[in-house]
Amino acid sequence: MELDEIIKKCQKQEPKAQEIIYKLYGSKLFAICLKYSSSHADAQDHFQDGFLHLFNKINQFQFKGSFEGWAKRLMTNHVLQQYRKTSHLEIVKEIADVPEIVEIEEEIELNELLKYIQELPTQYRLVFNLYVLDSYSHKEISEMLGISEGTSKSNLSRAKKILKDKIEMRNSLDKTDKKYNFQ
Amino acid sequence: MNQNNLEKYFQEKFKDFEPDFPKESWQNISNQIKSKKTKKNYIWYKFSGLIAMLFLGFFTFNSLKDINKIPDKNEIENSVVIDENNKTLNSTKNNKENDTNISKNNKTNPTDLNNLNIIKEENKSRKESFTRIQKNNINTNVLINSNKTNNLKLIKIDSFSKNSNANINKNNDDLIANNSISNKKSIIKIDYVENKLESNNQIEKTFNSNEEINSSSLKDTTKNNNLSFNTTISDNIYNEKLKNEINIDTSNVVIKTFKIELASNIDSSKVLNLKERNVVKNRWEISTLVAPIFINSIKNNSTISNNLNENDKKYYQSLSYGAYIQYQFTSKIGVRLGVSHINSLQETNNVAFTTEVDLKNNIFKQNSIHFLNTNSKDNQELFSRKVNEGTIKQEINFIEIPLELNYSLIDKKIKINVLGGASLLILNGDNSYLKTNQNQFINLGNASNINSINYSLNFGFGASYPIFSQMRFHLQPSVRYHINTFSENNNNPYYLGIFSGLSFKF
Repeated sequence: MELDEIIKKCQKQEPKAQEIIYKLYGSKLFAICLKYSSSHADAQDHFQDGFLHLFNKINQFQFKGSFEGWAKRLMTNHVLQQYRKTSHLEIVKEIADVPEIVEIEEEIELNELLKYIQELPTQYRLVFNLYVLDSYSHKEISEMLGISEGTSKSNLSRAKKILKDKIEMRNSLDKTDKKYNFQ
Repeated sequence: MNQNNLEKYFQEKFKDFEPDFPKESWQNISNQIKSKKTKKNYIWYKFSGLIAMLFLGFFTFNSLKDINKIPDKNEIENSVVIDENNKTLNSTKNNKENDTNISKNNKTNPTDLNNLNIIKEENKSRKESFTRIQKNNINTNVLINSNKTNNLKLIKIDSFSKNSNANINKNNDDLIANNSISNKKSIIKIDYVENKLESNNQIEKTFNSNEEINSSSLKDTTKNNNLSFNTTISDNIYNEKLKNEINIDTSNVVIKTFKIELASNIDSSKVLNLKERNVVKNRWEISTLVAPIFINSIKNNSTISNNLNENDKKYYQSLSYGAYIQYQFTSKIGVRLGVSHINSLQETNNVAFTTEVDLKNNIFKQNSIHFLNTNSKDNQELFSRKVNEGTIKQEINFIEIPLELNYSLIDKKIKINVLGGASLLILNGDNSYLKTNQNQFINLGNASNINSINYSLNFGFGASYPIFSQMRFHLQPSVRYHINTFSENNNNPYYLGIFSGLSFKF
């Protein structure tokens, strides 16, 4: 069965087609939830709600672009919406310069990097994901999060600084481990 | 040691990130889809039911109002004469011969009359609210007399006909008589004919079954049976309580509704009543309204932070202004659509907060503000930073698009009406700032919990007074209950406004 056909069946709310879509795109969409959420448990909740949202909105897909892109955007917006609700006031812009270069002593596991991202303050995490990992511009981010471009830039700088600090902290711990042979 | 660009490093790492996803979640999703479907249907049924109830209620109210009304004998009319030259309606009581023409013959000669229109006839049995009288024959004529052209227009409402199953129409039947008077398009529209007959016997008594009824015999019969059969046409038909509103224009003559009732003085419901109602002259009306707005909310929670729920809060009096356009469907019912600007300003006092201080300039840093619950603010030792106090002001602006139903209660010189409907509110900017007790202003930016589109339910009363013929002054106290202003809390405000302004009919 071709993808278009499956989507059309989803639009008619056929459960089997919905399950196929779930299995096809589950992994990619769960990746979004993990990156944007503050914990694995939150990510699971957002993933479930996000898929419900996707099936509710699937009639709006008009077969013009890729379905994957559409579904990812929808899921991203859904997770953003969950976090936008929790903070009533945005942080006003304040830009800090952060050096872009970071020294990596040893390759870091993906799960560890994910943990670093998840530990970021909510708005920093959202901006970092949108800008660095999903290539949105600051203008787009400002519209998506309802903040100013300046705030978006400031949040990104702060997020990068926190991540850099964490990586450097890890480096120093690694050095200590090596020095004292705590391997 | 590798030197990496932080952004590129993360991008590389997460390029093909496809984690294991919780497959067991599918069952939950599937179940929720099913329950949502049922829920959706349920909501639809509820909504349809509500609409149906509103309609039923409205029409029941209207019909009850008509049924309960005891007809006045003076309302009995059987002839209407319209003088085209004067563009007025002449009224003659007690069968003035010149103005009233009740055919002496049972058969009306169509050659003597132009544009004789009988629009609707309907058979109805008496007990089932359908009355059929075969033996009686009454011709009620509405005559339009044009002096210049001698072009007579006759509208015949054939209530009873001996051989041709003449009928009395008990329900809302439309009689439309189109007339062209002196080459001008004149329309007489009879929308509503209602006959009430309760006793076939009495009607048979009243009208001799085989007799032709002429004006005198009709009069006699009326007398003998204590039936008052008046011919009533009045110049100032609007002002008299005759239920006739006949609008004559040089190009249009509109008689919207006639009501015919047959009644005796023993039972007032057996009166033949020809009634006209619901005349709408100018259907469109534009108005500009301005109102002081008093805002409050039932819960009085903070819209900024839950920690501020206990704080003392007050709304400032605000102003709303806008323009409206109304379309009058009938003399009683109109719908209006508008656009207006409305804003709210809320003040939260005694706000306790902690924040970083820029020691260089000795100012508070805006991005590290943390609001404290009023109950905990006195415990300074709980916080690593100094607890400060101040006042928050939050201003929210909306563009409002109201759609309201306007129902007229009193339609005289001073009109009283009731308004109900809903508004679409579009967020048109907001801003919050904190004024500390040290007189520092900290801009808190925009609130992210205000829905950009939200709604309100509107209800109010209106009174209007004419200034000129087409211009009226309006006073409309109304209340607007906002439904989903905020995305997170249910702190829905309500706005009380006293709108006043001018309207122009066209």
